[in-house]
Amino acid sequence: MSQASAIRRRSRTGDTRAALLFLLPFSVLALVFILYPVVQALYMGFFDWDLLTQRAQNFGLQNYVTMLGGHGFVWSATHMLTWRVPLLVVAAVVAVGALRGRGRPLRAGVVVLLLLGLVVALGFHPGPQGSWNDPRFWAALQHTIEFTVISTPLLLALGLAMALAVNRPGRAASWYRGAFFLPYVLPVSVVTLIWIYLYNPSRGLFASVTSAFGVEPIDYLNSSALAIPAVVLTTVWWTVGFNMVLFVAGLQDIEPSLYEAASLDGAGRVQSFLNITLPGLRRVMLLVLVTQVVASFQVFGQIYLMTRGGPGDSSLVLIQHIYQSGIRDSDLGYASAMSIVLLVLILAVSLVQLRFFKEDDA
Amino acid sequence: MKLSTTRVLTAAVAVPLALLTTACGGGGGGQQAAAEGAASMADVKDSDLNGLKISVGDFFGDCIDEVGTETDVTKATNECQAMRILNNKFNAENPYGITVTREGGAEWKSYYDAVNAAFAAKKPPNVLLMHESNIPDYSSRGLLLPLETGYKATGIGTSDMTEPAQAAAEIDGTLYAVPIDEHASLSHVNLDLMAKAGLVKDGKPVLPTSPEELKQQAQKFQQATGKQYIAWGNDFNIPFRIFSSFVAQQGDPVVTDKGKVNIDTPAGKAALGLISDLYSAGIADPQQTYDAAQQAFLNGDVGILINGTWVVNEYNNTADFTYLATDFPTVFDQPGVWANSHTFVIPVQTDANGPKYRAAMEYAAFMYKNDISWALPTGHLPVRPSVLSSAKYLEAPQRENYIDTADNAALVPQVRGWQGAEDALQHAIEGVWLTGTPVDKALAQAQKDVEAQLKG
Repeated sequence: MSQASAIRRRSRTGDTRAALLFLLPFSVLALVFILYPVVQALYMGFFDWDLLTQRAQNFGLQNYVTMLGGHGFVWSATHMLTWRVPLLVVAAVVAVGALRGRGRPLRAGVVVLLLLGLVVALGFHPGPQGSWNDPRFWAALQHTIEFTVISTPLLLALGLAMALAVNRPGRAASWYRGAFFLPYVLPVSVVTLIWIYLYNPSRGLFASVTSAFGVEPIDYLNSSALAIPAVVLTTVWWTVGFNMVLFVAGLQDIEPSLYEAASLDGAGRVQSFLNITLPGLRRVMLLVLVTQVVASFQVFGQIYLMTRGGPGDSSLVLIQHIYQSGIRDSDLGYASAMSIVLLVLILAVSLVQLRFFKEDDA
Repeated sequence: MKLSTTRVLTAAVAVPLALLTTACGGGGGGQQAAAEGAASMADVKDSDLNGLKISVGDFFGDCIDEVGTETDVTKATNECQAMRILNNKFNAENPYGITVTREGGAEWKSYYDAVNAAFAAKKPPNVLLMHESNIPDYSSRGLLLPLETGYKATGIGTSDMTEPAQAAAEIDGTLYAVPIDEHASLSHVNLDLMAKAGLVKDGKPVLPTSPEELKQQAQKFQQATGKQYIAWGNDFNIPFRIFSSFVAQQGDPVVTDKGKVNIDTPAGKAALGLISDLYSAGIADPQQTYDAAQQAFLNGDVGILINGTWVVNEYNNTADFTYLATDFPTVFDQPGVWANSHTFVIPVQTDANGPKYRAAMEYAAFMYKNDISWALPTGHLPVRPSVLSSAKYLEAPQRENYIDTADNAALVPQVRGWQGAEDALQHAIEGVWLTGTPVDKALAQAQKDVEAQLKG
C-alpha cells in the first residue's frame, strides 16, 4: 500500500515538473511582456512621467482626475439618445423575458438595474458653462465603444455566414476559404492604402459607382458621420476571414450524425441551425466574441492611417489618444493612466461575457 | 516540489515590481549635462576628430541607391538626393576624416515619434535635423546642447543669418540650432491660365491684395477659363498654414513665442471667415488632398496652387505650361506667410564625448555653409543674406520671384508642445468646412483646445 502511494507521489511530482517545464517559457514571456508592462503602467499612471527625460514627479491621482473629472455638469433627458434608447430597449427585452419565465429572474433583475443606471448616468453632461477636464478622452471613449458595438456583431454574423457557405467539400469551397482569408494576412498599411483609394471622392471606386447613379461623390473619410462606418467596413473586409476560419473549425467539430438524426425526425434547415449548429458553436462563439471585443477596443492602425481621428475628433479612438499623449506630447503618465482605464474596461466587458456564457452552459 | 497558489501570486507580483524598480532610474540629460557637454567642445583639438564616426537623423529618406557616392550636389533633383549627396560631400571633404552615416527609417510624418523614442531610449543620433518649432520640446528639457561654443569652434556666426533664421536658431537668447533653410508657403502660378483671365501684367501674375479682390479675381478667372482659380491640399495641416498666414498678415501670430494664443480674435475671424467663404463659394475645394491639388495644377487645371518652397524645382522642370513661383498673396494689411526652418541640433548623449559633439557640430556647420547647395536643388530659401543676394542664387530659376518671402516669413511659434497645439487648431477649424461648424464656434473651440494643449 505504502509502495503504491510512493509511486503515485513520484508520478505526481514528475507530472508537476513536466508541467512547470512546459509552462516556463510562456510564463517568462508573459511576465516580462504582459504583466510587467501592466504593473509599470499602473505605477507610471500615478506620476507626471515625462517620456523624453524619463523623469517622474508629482505622485498622486492627478492623471485620473484630469481624465475622468470636469465641472458644471447638468442632466438632461435628451442627451445621448442614440445610446440610451437602445439600452432602454435591451432592458425592456430582458425584463419582459424574465417576466415570461425565461432565464434567471435574479440575474435579469441585476441586468435591468444596471442598464437603467447606465441610461440615467448617460444623461449627465457638461452644461453650457461646464466641461470635461479632457473632452478628447470622452470623445475617444465614445468612438471606441461605437466602433466596437458596430463592428463586433458584423464580424460575428458575417464570419458565421461565410463559414456556413464555405463549409463543404470540394475545390470551389476551398478556393473561397482561401480568398476570404487572404485579406487577413495583409498588413494594416496595405489594407488602408487600398481602402483610401477606394474611398477617394475624386478617383475612388465608390465615387465612380455612385456617380453612375447620379449621386454626388461622398468624401467618406472626411465626413464626421461616415468616417467610423467607413473604417468599420475596412476592418470587416480585413479581419472577417479569421473569424470565418474559427467558425469553420467549430462547424467541423459538430457530430454529423446529429444532423442526420434531426433530419430523420423531420427537422428543417432552420431548425437544425438553431438547435444543433448554434449550440454546437457556443464555445467558438465565445472565443470570437471575446477576442473581437478586445481587438475592437484596441483599434488604432486603421483609424490613424485613414482618418487620423478626424474630421475634427469625430473618429478619434482611445489608443490614438493614448499614443498621442504618450509619444507626441511626451506625457507618459497620463497615457499610462488612460491605458489602465482601457484595460479595466476590456477586462470588465470580457468577464461579463465569460460569466454569461458560463452561466448559460451551466 | 509543492507550489502553492500564494507562492505563485507572490512571484507574479514581486518579479514585475523588481523589474520596475530597475527601470525607474533617474532621468538623463538635464540643463547641467547640456552645459557641460557644450563646454567640452571648447577643449577638443582638431587631431581628436580624426576618423570619428557619427550618426545623423533626418527625414528626407534613403535614396542612396540613386546617388551612390556622388558628391556633386548640382546633380540632385529633390530633397532626398540633395541631402544624401551633401552627406557624401561632407564625408569626402571634411579635413578630419569624420564619417557621418544616416540612422534611417522614419519619414517626416512619423519622424518626431522616432526621435522621441530615441531620446526615451537614451540613444539619440549625434546630430539631428529638427524644425525650429520642435526645438523647445527638447531644449527645455536639457536634451540639446547650447551651441555658442560650437559656433565659435567651427567658425560660424549669426552675423550672416537672416532674422527669421536667427530667430529659428535661438530659444530665449540661447543658440540651440544651426539653421540650413527657411521654407514657406508660396503661390505656384500657371501664367498661361492667368493670362487668359487677364490677370498678368508685365509678365507677372496680378495677385489679389484684399479678400474682396481675391473673390473677384476667382470669379473672373473661372468665367474666363472654366478652371479652378486657387487650390491647396487639405491634408498635412495645410489649411492651418493658410489660416496662420492670414492671421499674421493682420499683425499678430496665431501663437506668440511666449505662448499667448491669438486665435479667437477679430483677425482670426477674418482669416477663417475668408477660408470658409472660399470653400462655400466653390473657389477652393475642401475635398482636395495634397496629391490631388498638385496633380490638378500640373495637369493645367488650376491657376494658383498654394504649396511650399520644396516643389519649386520639380514644378519648374515638369510643368508643361508657363510656370511661375511667387510670394504668398498679401490679402490683408501686411505681408506674412507661414514658414518654418530646417535646422540641425546636437542631442546630449549619456556617454558625453567632447570630440563627438565637435564632430557633430562640424557636420552642422558644413550644412550651414552649404545652404546654397541645399537651396538650389530644392527651392528652399538659404539662411545667409550673403547667399540670398548672390548672383548664383538669384540667377537660378524662379528664385528672384519669391526672394521677399525670406523677410516676410511668419515662423511657426517656438513653444513647448506645439505639434499637439497645431493638430488641435487644425481639427477645430476644419469643422467649419467639414461639418458646418459656425466660424465663431470653431474659433472659440480652437482657442480653448490650443490653450489646453500648450498648458498640458
